[in-house]
Amino acid sequence: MRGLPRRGLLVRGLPHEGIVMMLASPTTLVAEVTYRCPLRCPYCSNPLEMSRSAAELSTEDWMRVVTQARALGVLQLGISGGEPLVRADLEPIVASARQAGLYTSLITSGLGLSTARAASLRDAGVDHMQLSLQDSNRDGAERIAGTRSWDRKLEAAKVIKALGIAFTINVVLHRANLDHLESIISLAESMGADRLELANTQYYGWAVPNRRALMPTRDQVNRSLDIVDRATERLRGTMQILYVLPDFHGQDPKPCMGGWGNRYIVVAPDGATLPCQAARSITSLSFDNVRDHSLQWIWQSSSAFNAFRGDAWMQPVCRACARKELDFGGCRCQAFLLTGDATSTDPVCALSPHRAMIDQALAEDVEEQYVYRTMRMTPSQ
Amino acid sequence: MTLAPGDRPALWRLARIQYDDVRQRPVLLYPEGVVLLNDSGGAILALCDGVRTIDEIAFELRAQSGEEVYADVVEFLDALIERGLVRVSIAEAGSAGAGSPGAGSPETGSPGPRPAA
Repeated sequence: MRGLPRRGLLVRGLPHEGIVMMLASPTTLVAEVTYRCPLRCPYCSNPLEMSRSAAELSTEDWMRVVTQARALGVLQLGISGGEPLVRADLEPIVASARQAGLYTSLITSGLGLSTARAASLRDAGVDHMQLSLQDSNRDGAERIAGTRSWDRKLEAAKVIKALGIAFTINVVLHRANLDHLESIISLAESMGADRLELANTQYYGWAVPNRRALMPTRDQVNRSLDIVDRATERLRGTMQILYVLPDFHGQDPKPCMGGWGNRYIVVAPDGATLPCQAARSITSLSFDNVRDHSLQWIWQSSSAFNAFRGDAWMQPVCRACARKELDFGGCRCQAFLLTGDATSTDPVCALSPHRAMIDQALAEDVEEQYVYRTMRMTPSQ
Repeated sequence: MTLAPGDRPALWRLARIQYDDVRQRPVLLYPEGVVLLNDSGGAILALCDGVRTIDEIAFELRAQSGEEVYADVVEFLDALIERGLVRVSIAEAGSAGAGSPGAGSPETGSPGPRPAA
């Protein structure tokens, strides 16, 4: 049996690997400006329980947040969601970010990205657009998206390219599209993308109830490694490829978020401020809100951001491990979701007493039907 | 790859430099990435416009600092080329930068020669 390469970090192709690990200030703000989205992808990382009515932060709130983020040291802003384009007020938020000196990426499904909107966002200061594709063909893509979206995505790709905006395509990989990897890469190439992010599904949010429908086989994963290696070499200098491996199939946990409270700040649509997008799945934590506190206070002093910094919280097996500086004990959300204790060693780790849970998940019976994302108040059962 | 004196380096189209007054140093920003630079690194990259050659960049920096910097410039830029953050237009015999789109940063690849766009 061939395991994944023990490269230390699970993300391959990151040109800055290791460089930002030593910063004391955060580097990245993910602004989840809305959970509203026309797509219903069954691996969406948004929470299962989402209220339509929960008040979203105002334009002024976001302008204040991005300005505070820069003062705290943040250099990268990802405007995400949901589908951020459903908000008509992105331009003043982006303009504030540009004025403060942030490198701004718009992370979009492409639905709603007309030429006029794309140009207006570029003029406001968006540096880079990241367009999601769900598969290399209409049927596969629309089956995942749960809605008609293929033509509008092809159109959005043309719009981004025609305006000369820095262009990344991102594709979440799973059992139903991993065998299409070569045609996915060809499609991204034909669209003229500068970068292609290929990320295997991570099991948070809607991916948890869909795990049996999404989990790839080991053979699929092994084939994907060779395909990505060849494409990376062939396209060097033309299209950069970033490949996020599936952690369940490896032996080492991922260095989640570059360490809890170490680099990333996520602000959710309602202003709750999280160390990672999935953090609300850890129900033992409470999260402070940018309506009540400055970002600086939340970063430095909030209980949630301090919960898993350093190594005092770690299990003895992690605290004694030389790899703790590389992977920080793995993912806290995954530890909580699988073991009920957010301080557990990530069960992906070969040294975890819970590793059998991962191996069982890999051996589960396949499910063909997806549970699609909805905006209902309660999780679907 | 080792840079040749006539190569014309430019920042990757997706990257930009700015001064970070929180960390008090120049930084190189690109999608989802940050490279912290020291002042020399910032000074080198500020001259990588796709028009100037390695020779010209080293000459200008020597004029500023009074020190021979050619080897340092090559070593620094080689590392960024390896990461895809700097791209190179291959030296054209006898040309004076014609065909280099300058600050727009050419989409030519690295490492290795590629056909002219």
